[in-house]
Amino acid sequence: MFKRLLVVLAAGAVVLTAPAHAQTGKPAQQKDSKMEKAEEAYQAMAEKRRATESTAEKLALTKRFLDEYPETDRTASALGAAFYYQGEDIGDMPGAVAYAESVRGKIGDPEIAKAVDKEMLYVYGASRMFPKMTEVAERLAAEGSLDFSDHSTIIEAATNAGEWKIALEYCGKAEPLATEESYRKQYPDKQFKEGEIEKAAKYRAGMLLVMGGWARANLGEVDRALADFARADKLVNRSYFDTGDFNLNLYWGEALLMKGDHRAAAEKLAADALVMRDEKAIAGLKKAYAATHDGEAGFDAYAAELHRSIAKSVGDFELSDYSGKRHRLSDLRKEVTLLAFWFPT
Amino acid sequence: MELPRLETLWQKYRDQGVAVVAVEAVRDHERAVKFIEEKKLSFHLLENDEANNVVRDTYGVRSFPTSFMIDRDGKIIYCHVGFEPGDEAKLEKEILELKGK
Repeated sequence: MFKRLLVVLAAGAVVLTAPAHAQTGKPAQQKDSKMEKAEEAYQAMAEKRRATESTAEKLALTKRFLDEYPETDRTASALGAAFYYQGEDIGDMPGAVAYAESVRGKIGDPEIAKAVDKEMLYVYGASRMFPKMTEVAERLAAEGSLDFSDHSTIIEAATNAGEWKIALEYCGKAEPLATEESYRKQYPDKQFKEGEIEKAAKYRAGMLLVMGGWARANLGEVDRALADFARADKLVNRSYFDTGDFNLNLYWGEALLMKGDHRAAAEKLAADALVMRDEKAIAGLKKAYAATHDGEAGFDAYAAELHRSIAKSVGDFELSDYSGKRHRLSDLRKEVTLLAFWFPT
Repeated sequence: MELPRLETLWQKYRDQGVAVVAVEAVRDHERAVKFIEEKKLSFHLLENDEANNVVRDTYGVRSFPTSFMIDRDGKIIYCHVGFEPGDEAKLEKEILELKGK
């Protein structure tokens, strides 16, 4: 489940309302000919890397690039890739860590060092190397460079790994960054749209309450978790199915199960379980049902009835096709309709 | 991108009471037209209207792709976020279940 959130909010997929994160790359005009040469070498290396199936070969190509060009705009991403090849794919985690540290140790440019640290924060977290991850986080924090998105990287990695204390600790550390004032200070030269700062601060504060609450629930502080979720409820975005960003309803439902409030838990879990078909939510709903109905017998009929009662109507709309012809959804619908929202890539 | 794989699904079920409708979330007419021609997509493809933003304002869809499965009564029975290899099998399973009802 959390993996899905990561996919949606962090990697690749497009999120239209998430606040823009700081870019660590340098502006193009600062690139001198040396950088251009390095960029060409990087592209050539990446091309060769795509052409080979061998992970050992991919790793060797990446390391050769890093040897030849140890300090460029591509150092961070190349080092992150090398770490994955050696640590995750080949399984030599100690070697991967040693290599990452040796490359990092030779970097003199503070901007490149910062970019590398931010990259390593992410890859250490994804590889569950938490002592290394927190070491890098502390270094960035000491320079005042650990921004909100770095905190979310840590919180997400810790949550995925069930490292609840680390997740809760960094939710606490990120709190001062979840204010309107802090958001404004992060982008001093930006012209904000009406309501943008307020929205961004709400998004951040909501996320910290959800993730912090879930960490607390897992650390046994269920009452406090429920109070955090109730506060988050007023801050986070809601989907059309009312499920809530950052898995709010799923975590809320799970916490209610821990509390033994099975009816309220079923209500919170219903949309995630039946409309989103989330496996954890389905398991939770089953548990809530079993506790209130003397076992799991009859669950399927109950779920079908609940599903019917919460399924939302699609309503209607009229839009143009690519030749300009107008269509109403209600005219296009059949016995079964698959309505897909896509983004040109 | 999932649209060519939706085309495969649509070709398989188009004569069995199944409709496929895709709404482009952010209007990029030329790129979309090129893509549709290249991939020979033949199901219904609509352009979102920025002034009357169905995708964002009505359905609150903020990550793409997102797919809804709608039954004969117009109820959204299933919502699928993202599209990974193998996900078309999940959508096909939903189609078969809804067709059977």
